[in-house]
Amino acid sequence: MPAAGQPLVVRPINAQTGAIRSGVGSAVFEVGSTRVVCAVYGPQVDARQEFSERGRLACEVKVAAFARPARSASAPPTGAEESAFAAELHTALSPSLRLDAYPKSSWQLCAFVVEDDGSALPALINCASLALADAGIQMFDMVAACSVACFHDGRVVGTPTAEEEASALGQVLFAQMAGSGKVSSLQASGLIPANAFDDACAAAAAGCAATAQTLRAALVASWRTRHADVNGSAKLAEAVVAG
Amino acid sequence: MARHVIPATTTPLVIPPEAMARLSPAEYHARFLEAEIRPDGRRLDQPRAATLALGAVRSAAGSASVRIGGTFVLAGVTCEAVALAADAAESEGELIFRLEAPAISGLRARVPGVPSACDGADAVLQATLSRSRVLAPGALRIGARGAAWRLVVDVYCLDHDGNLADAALLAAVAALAHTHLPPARLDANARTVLVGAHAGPAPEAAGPSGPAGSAGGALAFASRPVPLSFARVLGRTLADPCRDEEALADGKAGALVTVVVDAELRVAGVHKPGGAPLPDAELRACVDAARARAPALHALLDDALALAAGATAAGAHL
Repeated sequence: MPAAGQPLVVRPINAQTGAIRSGVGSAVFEVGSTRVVCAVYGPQVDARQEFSERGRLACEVKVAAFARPARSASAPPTGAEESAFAAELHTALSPSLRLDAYPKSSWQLCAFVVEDDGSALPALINCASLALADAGIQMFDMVAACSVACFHDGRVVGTPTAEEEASALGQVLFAQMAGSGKVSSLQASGLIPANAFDDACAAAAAGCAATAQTLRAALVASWRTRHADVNGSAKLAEAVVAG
Repeated sequence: MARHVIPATTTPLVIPPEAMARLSPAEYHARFLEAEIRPDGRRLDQPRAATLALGAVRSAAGSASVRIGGTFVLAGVTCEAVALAADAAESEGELIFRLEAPAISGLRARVPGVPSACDGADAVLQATLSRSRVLAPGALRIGARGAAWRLVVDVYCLDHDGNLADAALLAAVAALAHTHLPPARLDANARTVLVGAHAGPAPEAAGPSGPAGSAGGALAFASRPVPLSFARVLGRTLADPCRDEEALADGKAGALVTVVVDAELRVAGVHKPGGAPLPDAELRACVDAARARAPALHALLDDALALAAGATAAGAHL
């Protein structure tokens, strides 16, 4: 087990908004060479749905046929996997949104996995949350996610690569709202020794906190560029951000 | 209860341009086209700026991303060595193109059964790339016989702002140009194909039936076709239409005219799937415009290839 206070090793992450101009909001998120893109469309009147006082969040995930190197030509990503990703996104993100503010309407959250070298699901959650914030949807907080892999020798590695994921004993995924510290999704898979579980959770939570800072910085940067050229309100934007 | 009376006014109703564009797009565009200009400030025959980046996806054998105006397309190549039965005829290999516009592009089929812009662009891609010799003969062969490469070029539209055909075709050609095949070799009994490090150095000694392997590397091209598409909008021919202009196109949605020319500016394909009839003179003008556009696109491709050869430019677009 890593000694208490030993830093968690994570891959470099990068977040940016505004990649997909058709969307109301969009984001790109990278962790190592894993890269995902999200766009948000809406709100739309959902004629097919029955009356609902709460808005609906419809998630859709597509994985590129070339997202993974190994024999992808003969074994392309399956629809079942994409649906599973979409369901996980919905689970992790809907508690953070104020869907009660959008009665009778629906939001479309569309994600695309460009390249998957491990930790695709936490990347999708981070990217989607940033895209939703970029779209200006009312929310309690952004959701930051991080996964850690536990190994035989007691090592705990943050944001594991595909290779690390395959050789790890088990994985823990945390999705957390940084402001309130509330956990919106927690998943453990594989075999994790009971005495190592708490440490793995603590490591994942620490990873979430670091990711949340990156997401926040990306959102502030996008807000600045968006408001910089409108009627010379750059100074006002600066003041609001600083204050 | 007092009735509301709308007072008679002498000032005419003024509709702001943004509202007019949404309320009556046809009239909005017609006003511009009368003045020989388009709402985004372009001339009628002026295409939008295009950018190209290679090597954005490291997991693919070759990849390219293309942005034309607001349209963004990502193409990746996956390769697979296919061994054939010993008595099979000589194989040229397989080259497959697939175009998809997932929900993230904002392009959804409004009416089921009516072809979308993606279907139209896919038809252009298949017609100009699958059925014409883009690669040199034998480019996909491994050894003289017995094995060949199967290449799949997956093209995804991630952002749709019109003229998907041009972006998809350019991205597919660029991704193929960026593709580096791993070395491959048939083993002694010609039953197994060894790929990558296992294949070892390419065998120098050629057997009685020719060399047993290929050293890999870049693909040999026969031609590099580049396109320019046009839409007939309100009786005018517009080069490189944006999404709003495509929506107003005469005839079926997605029925554009695409002219493809090669590096020597020869016409490599003209695609005109129904839609509004096109006068002969207009078609000639389209071919001339495509010829005028081609050198810029070839230069874009050559510059990107030189850049990718110098340094692996990773994720320049995304």
